[in-house]
Amino acid sequence: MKFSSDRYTQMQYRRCGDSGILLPAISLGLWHNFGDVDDPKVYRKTLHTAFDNGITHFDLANNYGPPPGSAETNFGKILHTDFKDHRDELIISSKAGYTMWDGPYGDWGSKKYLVSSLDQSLKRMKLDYVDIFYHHRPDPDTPLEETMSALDLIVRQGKALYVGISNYKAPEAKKPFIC
Amino acid sequence: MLKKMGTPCLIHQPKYSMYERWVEDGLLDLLGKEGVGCIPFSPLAQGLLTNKYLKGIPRNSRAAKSHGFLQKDAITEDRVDQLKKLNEIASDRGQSLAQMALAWLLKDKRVTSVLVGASSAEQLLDSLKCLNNTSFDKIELNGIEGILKS
Repeated sequence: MKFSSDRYTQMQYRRCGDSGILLPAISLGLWHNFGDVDDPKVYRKTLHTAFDNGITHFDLANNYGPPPGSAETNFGKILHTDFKDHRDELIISSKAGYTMWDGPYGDWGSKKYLVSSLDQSLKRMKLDYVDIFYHHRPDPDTPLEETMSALDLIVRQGKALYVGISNYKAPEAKKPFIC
Repeated sequence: MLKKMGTPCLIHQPKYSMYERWVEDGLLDLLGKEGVGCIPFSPLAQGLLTNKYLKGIPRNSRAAKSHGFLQKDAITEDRVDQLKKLNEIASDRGQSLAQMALAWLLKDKRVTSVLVGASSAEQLLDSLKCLNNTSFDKIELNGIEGILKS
């Protein structure tokens, strides 16, 4: 697959907080339009167009589809064909935090859920690691220490390079950031 | 907590648009202060901030489908009026309403990136044009605030 040679001149890149990572001002979210209900020809072209225009960040989550998981599977297929020479030019993210599978271990913020969900996401996308792994929503019943130490563990295991949080309000976000 | 563990938080992904602004109530300040990036999702408020609703509710839109999360009652006559007025400011800036809504988020340097969805390559290219103008003058900003509060 040949992509536009001037793709990086098209986009503005901004530093992500105080980190070493730059992100494109516009990133592509795969919440909708990449499930099994969608047309592969259409979303494949969307991914090509994104990268051709300097979009280096594709944002996924365990539950994106429908059905849940299918966006990661479908994205993974295209990644390993059309983008196989470009993995190191991409920031790929996934998340866990919403309902993903039956029973008490497929939802919210336990270490059990986060670690196993990321393993499933990596299998679906056929990746060794994601660039960013998020806790998708705050869990009022799990100790924050457990959720955050799961994120830390995942990075130490090499399954994610960076971590993030999503949908945390300011008072809830304070503790994970500070200290 | 994450810093102490040696894995600082890289980024926060909140829902943020002209119609959902809770992040301005402390979160953006916190992210700026702690050096954490910010990548808003739903920047177009589930498609509300597009030209789709300027003439009412089209039959195939998300608002018309019962299972969509943008419910019919989100589109009131007052809301359509607001959207029309916002669209006038966008036109003066040489942008569509959607392009202005994306640019409006990017005016804040604490916002690292904005997540857009795209049902086609054409729609994505259209969104990308927001980058041609991401600065707003006082008159435009006040105009937008006035409309959103009306």
